[in-house]
Amino acid sequence: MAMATSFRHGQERLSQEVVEEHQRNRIIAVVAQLVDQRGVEPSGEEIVAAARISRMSIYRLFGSKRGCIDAACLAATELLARPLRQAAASDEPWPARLEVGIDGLLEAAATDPQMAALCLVHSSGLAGAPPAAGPAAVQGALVALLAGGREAGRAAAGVGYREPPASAEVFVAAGLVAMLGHLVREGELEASAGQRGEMMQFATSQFLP
Amino acid sequence: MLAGHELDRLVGALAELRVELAPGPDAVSAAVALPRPRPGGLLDEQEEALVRELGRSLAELAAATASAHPAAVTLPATVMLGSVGGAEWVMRWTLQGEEPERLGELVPDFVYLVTLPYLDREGALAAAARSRELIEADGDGD
Repeated sequence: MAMATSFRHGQERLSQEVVEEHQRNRIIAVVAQLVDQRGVEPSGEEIVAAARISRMSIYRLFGSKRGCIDAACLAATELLARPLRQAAASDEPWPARLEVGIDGLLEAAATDPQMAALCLVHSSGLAGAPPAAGPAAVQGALVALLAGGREAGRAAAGVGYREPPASAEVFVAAGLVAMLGHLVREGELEASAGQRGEMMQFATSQFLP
Repeated sequence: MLAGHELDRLVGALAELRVELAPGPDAVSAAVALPRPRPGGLLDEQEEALVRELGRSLAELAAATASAHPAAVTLPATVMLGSVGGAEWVMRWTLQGEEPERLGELVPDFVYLVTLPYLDREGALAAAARSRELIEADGDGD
């Protein structure tokens, strides 16, 4: 009997957590949509109206409206950075793991272009957006994924390999952010095979002979 | 933040390098056509103007290098967008960082990045080294 009661309470708690997670995700999606439509930070009233929730829900789920915007920026960044981290941690040789990461990045952005735009296009313009969010965070994940490019270049060219500048990984990662940001802004994320090829060509040419 | 005369020195060195690498064609129109968005909120107006000015010079250098090497025209425009856009992002993060005055030191690396798609590695490294010489020579004359 006690076990049955505990099980029921567990189910209720789980159910409550699932509902809150669903609400959080819905509100975050609404924030991304509003920011993408208007290019500026939405007011609390606008979020409440578009998400069809009470103002209290924002405070209960995020602590404040600022917390809500921050959570949306962080979630948008995580959407793009996660496939890059996963690819960087894989056992694939370079540049195959770079290709896996760029594929994952393009797929994530194409799956949710408004979240991609929130991260790459809009977050830097939102007052007080968290430092862990935005293009710089995606660039950081790309730098980690580009590690291995020099080694692959040395292996391919042998002793005659000319090292790129020390900052090449940082520049190439920033370039990939610029290319993806352009695709997101222009709504051109569909033809991902060609886009992957162009991004791969840009990145590998800096390291491989 | 760079002083105005420092910016002029860097832009002047890049213009000189552009003429050395590609004396004939005028690359300004190709560079102007390159989409270069301004992310809001990162920098103040003066800093963003600096990024735009240096970015424009790099775009002109890239376009001139591409036009001087006909094989390079097969490269998609997004390659130039990546190299110039990437350099502009690095400029913004440098200006936001703890040592914004070091931006000038990065210019030879920017030159390498934007010319490599159109030159071989030796050529891009040589262009970067030449830009360093031009910047230093101009600085000695101040």
